[in-house]
This record gives sequence, structure tokens and C-alpha cells, in this order.
Amino acid sequence: MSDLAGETLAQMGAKATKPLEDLLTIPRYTGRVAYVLSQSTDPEALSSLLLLLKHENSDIREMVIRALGSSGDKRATYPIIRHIKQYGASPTAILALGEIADFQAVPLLIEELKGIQRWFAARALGQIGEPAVEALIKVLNQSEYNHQGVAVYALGLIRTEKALASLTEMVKHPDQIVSWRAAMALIEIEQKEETNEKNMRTLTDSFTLTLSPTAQYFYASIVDELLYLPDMNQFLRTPVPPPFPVPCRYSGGKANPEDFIALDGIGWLISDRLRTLFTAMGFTGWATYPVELRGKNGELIHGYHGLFVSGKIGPVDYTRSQVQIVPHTLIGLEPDIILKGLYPKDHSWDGSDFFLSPDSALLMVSELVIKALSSLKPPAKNWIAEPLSEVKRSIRFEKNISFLTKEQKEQLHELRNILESHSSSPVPLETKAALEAKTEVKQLLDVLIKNRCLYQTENIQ
Amino acid sequence: MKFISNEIKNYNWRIRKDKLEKLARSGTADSIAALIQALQDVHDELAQMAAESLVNIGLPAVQPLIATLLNGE
Repeated sequence: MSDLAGETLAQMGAKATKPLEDLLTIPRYTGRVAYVLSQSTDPEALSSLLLLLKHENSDIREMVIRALGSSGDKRATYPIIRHIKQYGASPTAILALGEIADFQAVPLLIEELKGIQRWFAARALGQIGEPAVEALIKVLNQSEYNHQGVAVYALGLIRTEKALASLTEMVKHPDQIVSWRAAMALIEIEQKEETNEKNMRTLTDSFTLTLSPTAQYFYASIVDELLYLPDMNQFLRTPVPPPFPVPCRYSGGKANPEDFIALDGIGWLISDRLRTLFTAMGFTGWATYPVELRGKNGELIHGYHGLFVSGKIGPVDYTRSQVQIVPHTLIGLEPDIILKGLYPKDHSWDGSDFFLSPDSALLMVSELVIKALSSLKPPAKNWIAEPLSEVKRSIRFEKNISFLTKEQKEQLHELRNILESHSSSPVPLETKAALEAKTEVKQLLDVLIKNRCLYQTENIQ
Repeated sequence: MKFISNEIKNYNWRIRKDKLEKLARSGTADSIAALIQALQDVHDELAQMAAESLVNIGLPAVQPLIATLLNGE
């Protein structure tokens, strides 16, 4: 509600400016109030924000800069540049310049490609787009501006003809990492453009394949000082292996890895055994990249590969999912409202065995993959398969529900009302109802178990 | 005030819409509270209708809206 309250205040313009300005310097309110002023229809509202760039409290200055970025108002460009020159470049200030997308920030952002915030500067230059292309091309061959291919990454975000021509040139660059980033950017652009709907199929029985959410199993992280991946999502979907093994290290869980290893919570490493299985079965939509995996004590662990997923399916159509109320997955918490079923758009699947949707990080696989994994002996651990029809997404507190149908929204409204009216009750709704109805002991225990008040269903007479 | 807000919330969206239109015309202190409550309606069009009504009411709605904003609900 506070989001729309803020939008309403912004729409009120000058009527709300003064009362909001009075609250700006109270640190716990600054962020929210500054954002509303940055969106205000009152052109004078920006002035009070600009004045606060000289405030002694650095937290207040950062919140104001974030709001100035959201305003997209070019009047804020020079004040933010001055702030960076006085206090140094923070990610917030650089990203604000990107959001404003004023070409006058290009020289400063190019200089920042040499500093520790270089990847933020690259993103900001990418947001500025065409006006940044010339300046980026000029520094492509200067290593201090193009450390780990950062300038090439920025160009890859700008998809103009000139940027693409330079990227094509950079594929031949002697620095292998620069050349790899250029190739990756070009292939990603090509993949986005080549989707041919005529060859796409409607998905049949498929599953999501997730790795164990607990910290029980070995999990790993990429050592980003050696290879920085500004967009892991893009990396995993663009099968262009880096010029050297991606350095990965143990970051938690058991010391001995299983067949699957979760990588930075978004990627996957697979064992030699799985790679052999996927190859032997002729599965499509996947590839591997080399990794150098180190264990808990820094020891080298052989026999693992990074997994690329190049198979594709279209966006998820949530209008086909069902709105349901379910017990919370954690003991003692109130029931949740979920959307059940993950149904990608019809005629949008390229037929691969491994595939990803553009708006979900969930790895989807064909039934054949699940069968092959289930047949392994000894069994492969650390994976969970769920039919797409069973996938759940919590929407109880979700604010942006524009993707739902009118009927789904009304169901959600009713369920939220029911939960709200019982939220002060320490007893779960279903349990309370069962107790009040003087249910038989066996049935009551079933209800308690369902509500996760007890753990075992066995031995109940 | 709370009573009016909760009462509206319990109706289906068509009735909520009718009631909101009536409240928007009245412009009283009670209507402001109910309109602010309606900002969280699951139906964008009802939430937007409430927002537009509050903008039309103007100054008397500013402080209650700021209170809502700062409560972070």
C-alpha cells in the first residue's frame, strides 16, 4: 500500500512537496520520502533533493542519490558528478548516472572503468547506450580501461550497429578474456534475435530440476577476482566456454561433493558421471564449460564441469496456474497463498531436454532426463524433480500481481482477507476449525500433522 | 474509519467499485481512510481509482497518505 501511497503523493505535486521536505532529513524516512519527491509532478521537488547532496550524513546522501537516479531527471547529472569527484565513486552514484542516461556523464564513467567500481560503470555506460559507443571504442585497446574485458561487456549491452561491428573486431583480440567476452556478447544477441516461432513446440510432460535447498551438500562459488561474471544468468544461457577453467571453490556444506553441485545459488556443476550419462543419452540443450574446483581445504577436485543450458522455452503463462491456500512449509508459520503450476506459453519450446524460460531461473528438463537420473546406481544425490504442474510460487505478499487474471486476483483478495482476519490466532485455521468441531482424535491428529504440528504419521491408532 | 475500510474489503470487486465511486464523491475524512485502504486492492483499476480520488481530494489527504507511506505497510 505504501508504494501506491507514495505514487499518489507524487501525483499531488506541489501540495505534498513541503510536508515531505520537512521529513527528508530524518534518516529512517529519507529513502522513502526522497523517492516520492524524485517522482513528483512538482518540478521544484528536485531542488530539495539536490541540496541534500551536501548533507553531512553519508547515508542520507546515498539515499538521495538513489532517488535522483530514479527521477531520470538530467538536472541531477552534474550534481552527482560533483558528488563523485568530492566523495569518490560509490555503486549507487554510478548506477544513478546510468539510470539518468545523460551523455554528459560518459567521460566520468569511462574514467571509472579503471577503478574498483568498473563493472558498475560498464553497466551505466550500457544504459546510456549509443552516446557512449564512440568513447568505449576508443578505449577498447587500452588495457587499463578494459581490464577483464569490462569495456567489451559495456559495448555488448549496447546493441547498435556500430557497437556490434566493434564487438566482431574484438573477437580477434589477443587477450583471450577480451575475445571471449566479445564472442559471448555476440552470441547472446544472436540467440535473442533468431527465435523462430514456427519451429517451436508445445511442452508436454516436463519437470523442474532443483538442487537441494539445504546446506547439507557441498556447494561452491566462483572466484570472481579471477573471472568476474557481471551477469551470471546470461553466462549460464550462452554456451561459449571461457578461455580458461572457471575458478570455483567450496563455499559450504559437506566436504565431499555429490554428482550435482550448486554454484552461487544459480548455476550448476555436474560430475563426470552425469556428463557421460547426458552424452550417452543424446540429451540436447546443454553443454559444459571447464572449471577448476577447489575443496574445503583448497585441494583441487577433479571430475567436475560447469553446466550451460542453451535450450529454450517462452515466458510463463501464470493465468493457467491455480490460486490455492496451503500450510506453510515452515513449522509454526501461517498458511501461505500460492500459484500452483508453472505453464510456459504454448508453441514456445525448442524441444530440448534441458531448457530455461526467460522469466524463471528454474531449470526445466524432459521426463527422459528424470528417468535417466533415477536409474543411476549408486543413486545421484542432491537433486529434486517436480512436475511443472506441481511447482508452487508464493503470492500471499506479492505486490505486483498484474500477471494474474481478474478471477485469480479476486480469489487472492478473498484468501488474503481470510488469513488477515485470523492472523492474530496462534492456532492454524484448519486446526482451530477441527478443534471447534470436536473432530475424532484420528482426524484431529491428521489435521495437526498436515499443519506440521507433529512430524510422524506412523503409529497413530 | 476502520469499520468502513473493512466493510468494503469484504465485498466482491463490482460492489467494491460502486462503493469506492460513492466514497470518492463524498470526500470526507472517513472516505479518505477507506480510499487509502483501497490502494492495496488486488485489482489495479480499483487501486488506481482510489489513488485518483485521493489526488482529487488534495490537501486533506496529504497527511494521511504520508502516514501510510511512513508506516511502510
